[in-house]
Amino acid sequence: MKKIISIITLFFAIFSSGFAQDVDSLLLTLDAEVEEPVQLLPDKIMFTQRIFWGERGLMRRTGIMPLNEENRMKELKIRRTMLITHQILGYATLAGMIAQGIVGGKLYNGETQLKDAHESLAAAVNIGYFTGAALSLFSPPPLISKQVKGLNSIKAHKILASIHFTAMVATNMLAEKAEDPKYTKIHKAAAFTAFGAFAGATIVMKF
Amino acid sequence: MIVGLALGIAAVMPSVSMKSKKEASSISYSAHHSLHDWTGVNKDVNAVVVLDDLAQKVEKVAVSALVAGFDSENSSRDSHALEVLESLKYPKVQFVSTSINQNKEDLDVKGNLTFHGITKPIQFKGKFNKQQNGIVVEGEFPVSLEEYKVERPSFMLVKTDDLISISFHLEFYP
Repeated sequence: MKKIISIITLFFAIFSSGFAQDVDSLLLTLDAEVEEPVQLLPDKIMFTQRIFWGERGLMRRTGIMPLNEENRMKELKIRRTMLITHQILGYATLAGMIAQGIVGGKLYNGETQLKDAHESLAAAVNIGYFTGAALSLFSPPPLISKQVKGLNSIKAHKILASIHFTAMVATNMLAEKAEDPKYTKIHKAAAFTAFGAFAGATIVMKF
Repeated sequence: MIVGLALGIAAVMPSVSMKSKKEASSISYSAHHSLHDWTGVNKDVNAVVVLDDLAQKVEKVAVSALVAGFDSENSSRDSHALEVLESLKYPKVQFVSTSINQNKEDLDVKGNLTFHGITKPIQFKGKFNKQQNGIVVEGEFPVSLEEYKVERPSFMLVKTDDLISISFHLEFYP
């Protein structure tokens, strides 16, 4: 009898030990159930980014930055630096636009001695604006690009960007003809549209 | 022999392991920036719990999720998060308990959190709820980004707060 009980006890002990081990290995191997992401580039990439950083972009074809995990990590650091610079240039450009609005307003009201200042400010604003735009448009693509329903800050930022970009180009095209009274008001309207959309694009990012 | 028998019987007390039900489980983080607050939710969580079925007590829990699975409904922000979390290098966030004290519905959990490739011990309170066929475990705990060597994301040259809040709702069924 004693022998039978001992055997049963031993069986229970071995069985339970095996069960505990299974549980432990389940805890440790749970990780294996999580699928690893393998996608290095998002499905949707802006065409300006794809030219350089797409799967068959210039950086890949020239062998400067072959598409692999290590390089993508470097690219994301480059992207962050470019986007932070884009932000800083954006604030500086916005300040320049405000100054230009004041100077331009005075020039419009007959203070013609400010023409040189207006042109110098225009050059500075243009350099800041188009450099900032290029930093965003040609930065390496993000890791993901999700389609989010409805309006959000980044969508609003992009919509406003297309408005201020068009208005900036129009402002510059009309600048040469701005002394002609026929075009002065249109130039001013384009400039204010660019400023309004640009200010909006900066503010909307806070939401 | 009696001791052996007692040990043997005790050892086969009915511990059951259950996996989380994905469609009902989630982990979320809440972060704060001086300009706005936001929350990212991950509904693709893998978790397993070991339950003492007789005493209705949680013995162990392990959780694993991909950092890419968190969605804050802003692609740019999520992408920025993956950058600072170096998700290509450290794709997962994991938690494995080391001890769980349970007093009725209240859980006092100790364990190791692996985040951004760094493992640190943490302790937090949780709640246990028995359901008809399974259990629900939920709770919340803070995580310091700097402790896990995560570069805090910045916006308008202002960094987000160091502390983020992690909350979880996990439903387990046999």
